[in-house]
Amino acid sequence: MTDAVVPTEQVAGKSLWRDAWLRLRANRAAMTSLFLLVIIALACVFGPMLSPHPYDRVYQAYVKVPPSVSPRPSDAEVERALETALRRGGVEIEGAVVEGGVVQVTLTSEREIDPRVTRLIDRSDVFSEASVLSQSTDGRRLVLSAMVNQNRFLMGTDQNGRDLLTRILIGGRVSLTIGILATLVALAIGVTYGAISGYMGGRVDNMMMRIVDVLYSLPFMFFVIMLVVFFGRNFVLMFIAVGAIEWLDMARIVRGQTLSLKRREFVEAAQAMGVRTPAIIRRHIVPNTLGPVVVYMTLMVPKVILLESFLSFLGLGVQEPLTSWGVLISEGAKNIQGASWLLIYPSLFLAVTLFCLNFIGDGLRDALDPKDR
Amino acid sequence: MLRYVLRRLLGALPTLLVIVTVAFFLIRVAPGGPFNLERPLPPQIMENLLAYYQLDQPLWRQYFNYIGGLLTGDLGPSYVYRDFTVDQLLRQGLPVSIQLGGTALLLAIGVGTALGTFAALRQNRAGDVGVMTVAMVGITIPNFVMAPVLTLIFAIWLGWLPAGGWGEGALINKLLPVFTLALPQIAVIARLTRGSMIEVLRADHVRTARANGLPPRVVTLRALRGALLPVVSYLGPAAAALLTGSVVIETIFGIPGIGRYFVQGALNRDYTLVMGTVVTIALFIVVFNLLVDLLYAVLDPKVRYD
Repeated sequence: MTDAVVPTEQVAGKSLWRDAWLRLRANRAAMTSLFLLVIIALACVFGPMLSPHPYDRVYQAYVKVPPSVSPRPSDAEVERALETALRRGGVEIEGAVVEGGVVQVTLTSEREIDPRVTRLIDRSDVFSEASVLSQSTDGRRLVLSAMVNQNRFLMGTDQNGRDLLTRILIGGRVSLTIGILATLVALAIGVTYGAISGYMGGRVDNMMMRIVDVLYSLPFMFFVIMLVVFFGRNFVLMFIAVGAIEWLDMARIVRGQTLSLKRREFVEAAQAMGVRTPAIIRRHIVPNTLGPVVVYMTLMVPKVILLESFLSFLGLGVQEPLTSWGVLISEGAKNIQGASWLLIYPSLFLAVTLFCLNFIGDGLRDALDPKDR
Repeated sequence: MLRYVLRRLLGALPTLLVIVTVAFFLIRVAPGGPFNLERPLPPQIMENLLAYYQLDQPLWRQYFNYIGGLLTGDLGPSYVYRDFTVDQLLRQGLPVSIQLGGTALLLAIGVGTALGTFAALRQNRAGDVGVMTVAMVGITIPNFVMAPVLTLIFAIWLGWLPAGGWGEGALINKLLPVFTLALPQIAVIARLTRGSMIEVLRADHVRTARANGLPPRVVTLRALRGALLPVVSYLGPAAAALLTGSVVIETIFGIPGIGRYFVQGALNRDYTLVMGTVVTIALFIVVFNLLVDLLYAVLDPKVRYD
């Protein structure tokens, strides 16, 4: 007994989280998803700042223009825009020449042309800094020039003439924020509730879980719609409330974990040393339940994003001019005839995000699952 | 068996009562009422309306009136669809929703278990990966994206199917909604079946069956019986949800089911209509949970209810 082999070399230990991270890194689907998700999140956070178009800027000249890489307007569009701009001016357009981002137009009329006609042109989104070059002596002929504003709409514009890409990114901000916010609320409530219920056991546990059961059996949609009715359009409040409903599963998971944890030696040791119950729950129970909780959390974010999109789809979510992926998709669904990009791009963003979150969740589950070791 | 069913149904009554009570008071405390229009009604008319629908009585009396009506099967008049009782509205809508949901359910069970078994038998090979990728798509893409995208492809670009409408239940009108409804269910069922099938295929009784020289098809069918348990327990609530209609599908495809009533009723404060749908949904959930438990006894010889 005395000459038991003592390891001379220290074996480098691997913590649970480090081990999980290594396994996750080996999971190609999860890592690709993580990478994509980070890109989407960064784009949503910083994209709208970099975008030349504010998300609520309406370009009346460009309603429902299809996506394209080349800048607008094209030459044909310049003429159309001129016609639209001068419709009320009572003048005829004789010829327009576009050169190097400047358009030169000759206008004729039966009466004398008011040089203030430039204001009409400036009012259009397409032109700026219109100025009179020359006017014939009788005033019926006027040559003016104006800068042509070049605009790029990579994903086209919506039915009000707003840049779709910027709106998708802003919508992504809303959707992702909501997803994270509601999940954190659910996390806080669920973990606390579940840990207390599991740790206290007995009658307290029984009662607390019965409450969960009753809440479970109420139709979820009913709750959500009632919340919309209560909080009106106050979006943030509503999603805190949604988080406050979504905690049920979390509470069950944490309770199950706690039940097995509280019989473990380290908890008993803490009890024997006289650590008080709240401290035990905080220091010993909760940190050890985090594995499944983290997995469940990644799977809950897409659920909440979906819920938000669903509510927005029904018209109960974010209000104009702010937007979210659900709102954009529902507007796209109304415009599928003739403007299919309005449906396709937001759907693509939503689907890719949901995919990524699901893959990461699956990857995390595999990485944290001790059964698999 | 019969005693068990009766006991379960009786046991569900308190749950139903709680649901009805909570729903009743929740919708009542919500601000607004069924007759609050954008332009307010003259007070005299409002008073008469409230008196006509007995909404001027104290809340607790209204509650007992409602429960009383419920016990005799009277769900009350709809406040917004003035010419209809809630009973009539549900009677019109429910068959449509059940037809659609039922077809989707059968499709989901058939295709889902088949795909799941197929994937389990080819674990980690190309067929498995393929099925699971499709399942991931089915689970991830929400139906309010899937429905318009499918409409775009099949109704607008290809022009094969109608974009919406019920068409008195014509088959061609049902294809898109049924498929959209079934797809996520197919995906979930396939995943569940695959997971439990992989476990069951490794179990002793299956190995014994194989060792006895039973043909692979018989072995698979035997294994499937045990593997279906998690699928069945998932199907309880899922079936109830499918059969009581989907707001999204009914809105997008313009189908006159009862899914819409729920949302519309809540937004219009059509108290009785909301309560009617809540009661219907709750009943479906209770019944299907019971069916699930009974099916368990059929599938798993270890479960007995006598």
